[in-house]
Amino acid sequence: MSARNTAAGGDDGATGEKPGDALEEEPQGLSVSLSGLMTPTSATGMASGMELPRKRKGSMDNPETKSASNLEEDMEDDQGREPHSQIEKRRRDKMNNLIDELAAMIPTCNPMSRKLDKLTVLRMAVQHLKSLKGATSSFAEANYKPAFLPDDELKHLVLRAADGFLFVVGCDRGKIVFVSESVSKMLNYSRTELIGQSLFDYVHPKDIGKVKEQLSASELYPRERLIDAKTGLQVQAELPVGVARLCSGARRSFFCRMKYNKVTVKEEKDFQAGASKKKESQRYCTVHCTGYMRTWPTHQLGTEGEAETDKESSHFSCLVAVGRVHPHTLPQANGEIKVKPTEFVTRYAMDGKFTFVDQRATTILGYLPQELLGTSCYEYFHLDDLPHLADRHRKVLRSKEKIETNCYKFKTKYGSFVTLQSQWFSFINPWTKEVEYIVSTNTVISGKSNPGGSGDKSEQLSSSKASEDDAKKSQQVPIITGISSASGMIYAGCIGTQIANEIMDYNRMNSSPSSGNTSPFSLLQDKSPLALAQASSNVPNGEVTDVEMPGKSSSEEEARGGAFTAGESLMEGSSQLDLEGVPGLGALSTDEAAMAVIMSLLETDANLGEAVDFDEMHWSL
Amino acid sequence: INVVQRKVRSRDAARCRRSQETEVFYELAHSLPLPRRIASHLDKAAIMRVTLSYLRMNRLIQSAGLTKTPTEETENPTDAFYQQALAGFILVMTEEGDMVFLSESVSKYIGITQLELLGQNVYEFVHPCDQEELRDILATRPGVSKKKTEKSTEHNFFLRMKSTLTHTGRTVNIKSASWKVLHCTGHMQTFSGDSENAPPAGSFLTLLCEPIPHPSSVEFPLDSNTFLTRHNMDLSFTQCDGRVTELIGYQPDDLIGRSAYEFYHALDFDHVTRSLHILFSKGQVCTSHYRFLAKNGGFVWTETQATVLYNSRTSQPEAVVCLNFILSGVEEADVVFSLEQTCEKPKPRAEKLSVLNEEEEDMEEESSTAKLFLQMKENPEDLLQLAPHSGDAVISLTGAQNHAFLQNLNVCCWS
Repeated sequence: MSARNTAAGGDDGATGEKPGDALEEEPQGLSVSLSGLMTPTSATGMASGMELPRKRKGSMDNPETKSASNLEEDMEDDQGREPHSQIEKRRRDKMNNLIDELAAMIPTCNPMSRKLDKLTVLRMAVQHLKSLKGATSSFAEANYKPAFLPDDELKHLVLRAADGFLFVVGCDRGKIVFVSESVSKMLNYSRTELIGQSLFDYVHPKDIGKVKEQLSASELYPRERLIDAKTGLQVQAELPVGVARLCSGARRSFFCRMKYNKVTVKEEKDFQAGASKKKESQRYCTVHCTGYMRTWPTHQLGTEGEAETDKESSHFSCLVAVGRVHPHTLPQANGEIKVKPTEFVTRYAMDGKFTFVDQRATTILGYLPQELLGTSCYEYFHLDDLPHLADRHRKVLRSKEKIETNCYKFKTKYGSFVTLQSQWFSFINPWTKEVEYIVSTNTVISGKSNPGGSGDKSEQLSSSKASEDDAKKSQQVPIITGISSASGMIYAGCIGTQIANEIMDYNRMNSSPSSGNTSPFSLLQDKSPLALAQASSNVPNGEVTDVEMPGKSSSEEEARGGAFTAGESLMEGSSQLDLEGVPGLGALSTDEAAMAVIMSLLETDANLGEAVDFDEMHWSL
Repeated sequence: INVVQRKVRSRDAARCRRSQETEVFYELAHSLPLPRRIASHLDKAAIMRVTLSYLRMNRLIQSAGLTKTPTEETENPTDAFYQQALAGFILVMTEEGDMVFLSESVSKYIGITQLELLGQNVYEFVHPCDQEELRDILATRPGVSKKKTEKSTEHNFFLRMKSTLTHTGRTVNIKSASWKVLHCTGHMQTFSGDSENAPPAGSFLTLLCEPIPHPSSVEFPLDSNTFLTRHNMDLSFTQCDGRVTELIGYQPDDLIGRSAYEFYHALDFDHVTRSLHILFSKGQVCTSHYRFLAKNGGFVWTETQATVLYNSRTSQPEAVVCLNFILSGVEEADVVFSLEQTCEKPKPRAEKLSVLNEEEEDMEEESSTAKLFLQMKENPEDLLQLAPHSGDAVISLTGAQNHAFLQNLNVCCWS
């Protein structure tokens, strides 16, 4: 009742103000307009608040209205005057604005320069509406229930909002009873081609079963739905009871692949090449169908429903649905979205191990994805580039930005190097804020097996590299004194692991320290004694927990596996790298020193926390 | 006496004026294309709103209607089906956010009726955090040219709008409305009116707004190419419908504990993460097509509708439930993309949380979906809550509905 009171109160204002207010309406409306403008939201909020309960009442078709509110209007006087008059002022103000807006919309009002009074505007609006009604044929007479917008206009709006087509398909045989003109835009078939055909002829063979499921469920499902409706779960109130009894109205929503007729234009041209034409026309696009089941008494089937064969049953049930094609799904068939063939995408775990390889990598690098997966990217980097890439690696793990690398050389399967430039960014799990993986978009800079480093932008900065002409020559790394060529390959995997650990330590220092258990380093240490010293000295507790976070534990797993793969790649690497004069396992001890240099540099950076400056000074790339 | 007389006279005059005005108002109401009984129950402000919307809409249609071809007349009887066949409602609004048209079906989706909304400003019904996004969209004008041309730009976004619908199908007062995530797709159009008489009709955004079904009340039957998963908030799998095996090859065990991020093709990374960002900020999302890496190689095209579930006591987000629609078979099955697809599989990084269908692998897979929900039912607080945003109004489902929901799902699977 309280709701009704406010409703009536709000309305009273509209139907009849108290005498005093009414008399001074015009001047007040003007004077108040400022304050009304200051709080437009509250005013509108008020207005909507007043109208809403009222309208619900209206839509329920209560016969009582005006008389009741007129009665209450007189009682208004007793109630709090101040807030009420405020409300009234705002309301009047709003109403005046609306009247002005209305005047602007009515052609006959427009030419008149002087401001028209309310009544005139309203009368003109009535005239205008009537003339519109006459122009766009009568809603009121023809249709039993006039709609705010005629159906065909609504259809246009639908088509404007979403590219789609309407279709009606018989449930029993899948015959297309109706399809709208717009199908030609979507699937490139004319509607006459499709009507009368079986829908299944136009659905991807693998999706036929699915579509049949959707069509055949009409028998069982709606009956159950009525039960559901009784428990109050379903929103079935809108459906007329009669329709519901006919098992109509059950919703459907599914995806299926439908044939996309691609050749209508080229038909003549491709006549001779029948095979290729057929292949072309067999393309599919994914259609999202939403709709509902509907049952018609057969005699009511309109002209478009020439479903003679279906007339044996007295009721014809079918699916009425709108199919929508998302524009970006059209090129789906070939799977390959337009990407330059000189580009491929990889994902690394935090420690630089490949976890995802785009198949384009194979044409560029020669490796099958499975050859790369699980190995560390450092195993493939040219020694020259290691410091730079390690620096970037560290940067990317600490940054939310995308990090561009300089050009660097990546060893292909055939032993040659290809010059790549990559954009790295670490994907951080939005929930845990943990690094999930590093996404790298790699671009080939100067084709495969680039003999010279000429395409290498980085070289203009690096005096040491300027002297190199050949990738092979880079075995001598002048800048790192005492480092020997092969060690990089062997220990490369450790660099990534090391960096990953640094970051995790760094993160741990910034967050709460957690109690650890056994260090995965113990494994590493066996493999790489040089890492031992570094790890034990710089990683305070040496523990990286498995428990802490899923993200972490996974990379730990990989790190542990990495220790193995590093070892394995060491074996196969030694055989594979023979052509480059890689020393075998025996060389390990002599390489230790070299790696220790790298590691210590990396470590120092990490501990300084200011990786950038330090690095740039020494490794200026 | 004089004072009294004047008072009476002025009161009479005011009454007379008001009654005249009222009469015209109701005349106006009845010239609107509305059923008579509804028109006669509108108050004056509503009459004005609706009239203005109608006139604006009319102008919009006239400026766009020139492209209409006469052949479309033949489709007339079926035009009426569009509204019902769509899983959402149509919304047309101006640059200022005034809603000039909504299809009647709007009440079916957000409980508020067409007439309540017509002419109102959309911002009064949009979540505060989404208003800026909407403003940006409405502000992007597709370049106004002098000529009478129609340019359009496509939009695809998610909005939270007030909804007075409860899950029992009842409507509540607008004051206790909750937020409903709507997937809005549509076009912005700018019309320049006739050069001489009419002023420019301005820009209009025409949208199809589709709510994303909440997993507790999926209205449509799920076909065999759909499976359900449940995730922690970090998106690691915690539960998986057994149907996944036949569709993508994984046993539920293979997935549980793994991060879903590992299974997205890197080329889809951008739009998938964008979708997930929306999921976490708004509570629901549906992705566009992406490639879900299949077991042992290849991928399937997938579209996912994801919903965040909230804890009933703390209102904190607890889990994500995904309805995954598999759109294709396994493509490029011989290509290995990720470490997961190689033989040496990394172990799940989190401890297994729960495994479905362990001993019932042979049971018909229909029941697995229902069982997943049964499991959810056992932790009822999971599903009791669906507040898309913390601090927002909360709708609780009752146990009875959960039960009905299960029945419903059973039926879905059965069929």
